[in-house]
This record gives sequence, C-alpha cells and structure tokens, in this order.
Amino acid sequence: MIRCFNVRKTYPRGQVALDDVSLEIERGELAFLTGSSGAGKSTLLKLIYREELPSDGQIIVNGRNVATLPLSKVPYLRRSIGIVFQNFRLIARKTVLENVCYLPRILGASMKEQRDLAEQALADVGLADRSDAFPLELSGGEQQRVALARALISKPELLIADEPTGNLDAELSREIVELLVKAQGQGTTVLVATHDLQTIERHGGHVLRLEKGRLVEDTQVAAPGAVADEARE
Amino acid sequence: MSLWQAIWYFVSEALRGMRRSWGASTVAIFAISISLFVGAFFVLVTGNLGREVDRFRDRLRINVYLNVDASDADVAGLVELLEQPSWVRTVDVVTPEQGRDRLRQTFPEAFRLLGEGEEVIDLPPVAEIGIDPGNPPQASELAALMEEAAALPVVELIDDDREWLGRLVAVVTVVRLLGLSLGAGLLVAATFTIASVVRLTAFIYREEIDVLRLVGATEFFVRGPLYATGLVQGLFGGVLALATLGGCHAVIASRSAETFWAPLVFAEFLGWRTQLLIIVLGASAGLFGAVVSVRREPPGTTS
Repeated sequence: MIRCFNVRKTYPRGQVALDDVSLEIERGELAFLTGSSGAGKSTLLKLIYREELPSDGQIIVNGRNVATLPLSKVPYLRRSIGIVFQNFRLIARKTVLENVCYLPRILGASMKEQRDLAEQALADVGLADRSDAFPLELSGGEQQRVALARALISKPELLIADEPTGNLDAELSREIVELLVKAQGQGTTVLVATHDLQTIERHGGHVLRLEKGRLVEDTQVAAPGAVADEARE
Repeated sequence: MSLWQAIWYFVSEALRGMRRSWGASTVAIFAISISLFVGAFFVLVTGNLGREVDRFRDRLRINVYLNVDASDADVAGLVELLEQPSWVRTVDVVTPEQGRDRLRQTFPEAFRLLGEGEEVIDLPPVAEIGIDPGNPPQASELAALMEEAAALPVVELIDDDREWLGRLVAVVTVVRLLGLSLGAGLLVAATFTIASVVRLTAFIYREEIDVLRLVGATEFFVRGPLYATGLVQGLFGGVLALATLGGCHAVIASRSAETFWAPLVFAEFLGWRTQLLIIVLGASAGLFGAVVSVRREPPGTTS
C-alpha cells in the first residue's frame, strides 16, 4: 500500500526531518509510526498524503508516486485517504452531520445520499444520535469520533491518523484505537503516528520507529506486550 | 458533481459567507453600488441631453439672407443651388412681404409704432433650409454648401444653429466622459474593496478550506465559493445602484413640472440593455476582484 524508497526531507533552513527512510506497509495492515517528538512522524505522514514533497527519494501510495504527482491530481489521491488529526480539525459552526459530509458533497452526492452516508458513518463510530449537535457541544472523544467518521465516510483504502489520541484520556484513547482497529478489520490500511506505547502493546501490528529522522526499527509485533524494550526507551 | 450542483453549492456558500461577514460584505456592495450609480447617473443625464440635442438637430434650420435688391432670378438661382444635396429636405423662400407679415404677427405693437412698416422696414428675401433628419449631413458637407452659398454676390448673410449646437454636443460629450471616468475610477476602487473582502472571507474560512483540501476537493471547488462571493456582491451592487437611480428618477420625474431642467435630463429612464449592462458590469467587477484576491493561494495551511 505504501512504499518509501530512500526518502529524505530537509527544510529550507537545512533542518533534516527525514533521512534515507525506506519502508513498506502492506495493504490491510495496522501500522504504528512511533518515536519521540521531532522524530519525523508527522513529516512522513505529510509526505504520504502529499501536503509536502520529499527532498529526495520516492513514495508510492496505492500505486501512485506522490513525489511526482501533479498538483492537479493531489485531490484524487486524497479522496482515497482518510486523515485524522490530534486536534480533530472540525468546523465549529457546522453541525456534526455537515462536518462529516464534506467528501460526499464534493463528489456530487445528492443531499439525501450525503445524509445517508453521514448517518451511517456516525453510526459506525457510535454517534448516531449526535448528528445535529455542534462540535463544541461534544466531548473530546466524541469530536475525534466525528473526525474519524469524516475520514471513513467513503471507506478509504488508507487511513492516516496523526496522534489521534494525543488530546484524550486513557479511556477515550482506547475507544478511538478500537475504532481504528475496526476500520482495519474492514480492509482499510491504517497508519497511526503515536508515542503511546501501551496502545501498540495492546493491539500489536507493524511498528515503525523513527529517531531523529531515521527509521531505526521496522518490526511486526504479533502479540500484546511484545513491544521491544528499545522502543520503550 | 454536475455544473448546476457546483453553481448551487458555490452560490449558497457565498451567501452563507456574506451573512457571516455581513459588515464587510455590506461595505463591498455599497462601494460597487456607488461607483455604478455615479456612472449610470451620468449615462442617464447625458443620454437624455443627447436626445434633446438630436431633437434640436432635427429641427435645425439655416437661413440664407439675400440682398434687399435681389431679383427673382437671383433667388431662383440660390434655391437651385441649395436644393442639390440629398440631405436638404426643404428650401422655403420668404419674400419681403411674407417677412413683414411675420414681423407684424410676432411684434404687432412695434410694427404699429413704425407706421405699419410699409416704408420704414425694408426686409430682404430669405431662403430657409430644412434638413432631412433621417439623412443628416456631415459637418463638412454642410460647411461646403454654406461656403458655396456665401460666395454668391447676392447672399448677404447666413444664419444657422450649428455653432451653438456644436457647443452643446461638446458639453454633453465632456459631461459624459467626466461621468464615465469618475464611475470607472470608483469601479476600480470598488473592485479592490471586493478583492479585500473576498480575501477576508477566505481568511475567515481558512479552517474549512484546509478540511476541503484534506478530503480531496479540487481547487475549483475550494475557490468557487470565493469567486461566487465577489460575483454576488457585484450583482447586488449593480441591482442596488439601479434601484437607487430608478427611485431618484421616479421622484424627480414626478416633479418635473416644477423645474425646467428635469424634463431635459430625466425625461426617460435607462433602456433595458443599459440596465442589464450595469448589472453585468457590477457582477464582472466583483468576479474580477475575487479572482485577483485568490489568484495565488487562498488562505489555509494545507496545500
């Protein structure tokens, strides 16, 4: 699903965010991108959904080379990717339903289709009864679930979550991760940037650890509690 | 998404955005409305003045005065010369007797004081030329004929309305140019006002623009509501300008009997083509302002 070849990203001031990163994430995998703050997790995600361009190397996402993808094609790449952020990025003046409807609307769905799809997506994340609420009327966990519903409304092939539980307490975090795992169970490739090692221990999966922009670990964690001690450090 | 769906979405988003930033939108609409009102006002006034000038031109008469001792043959020769151009509709000869009759009718008291004028007033024959309004002459053609007539020894004086009519036309042209220049200047200023308002709207919506881009909206979809905002503001400005001008026209026209100038400059309202043009001009200026304001990158953190 995702393949990176010798990816390097440097910023104009010369700061190296990623250095010679090569990795592969299979279709349908649950992958965790971990590492300390500033390790390059968010930068790698931005390169994958083409918010930024690599300075060097190639990134193939679902068969598309995003490093050479023309700007006009970027929207079509993003329609196959669901993205969730730590700060939810919900529009406060729009209802929950309207927040979830963006993708069907730009795809030209009728109002009824938009509503049906949004209600289904909200039901999938357990918020069927909150469609007319406004984001600020919801708890943090609920807001993140709305963001997840928005990301999953069109059943994307890839779901990217950048620190999705960073603003949530342990209980709410567990709920969100359960939803991510549920999406993976339905065939979506899920890539989660997190430094929450307990989550990784609990669910296992493909663990990619970045350190100062370099990929220092690329392992499959099969069972709960099997995260390497090195990663914990 | 079909084109109609897109247009509906753009316009509804534009209206929603204008409602949200109603203060700035109102300023933009008034700015464009004032500029269009000024331009349209001058078009209205000069259009009516122009029609009055045309009416004067239709009634334009040229009088060729002959010597007092001109013979019938001299008069006939002059008439033959004057009737040649196709744009001359009539050549009426007023004999000294007919001239005295006119004088008697026009100034009866003065005529009586002059002892019925039979011997005191010695009037020359006059050839009155009527121009065909459907086939008016070029200025050069008219001047050439007058020059040819003036060269005849029997002709004493040529009196025509061309000079003051020419001045009137020049005044109308200057007023029209002045008004259109003023309107155009204000329109440019209004366009920049709209550009600023659209930019402000885009800034207010930057979070939503981010989300739109993240979920895969094309730039057309992202910018469409902003373009529609400028277009709708310009459209409202045009309609407001016309409505205001129409109201002013109605009020002044209802009191036209009280003033001498109102019938001259407010006789008729703008034709539907001009009205349509003003609205289209407003919408175009608004759209142009919006395009200018987001020609690079609408505000947002996501590219």
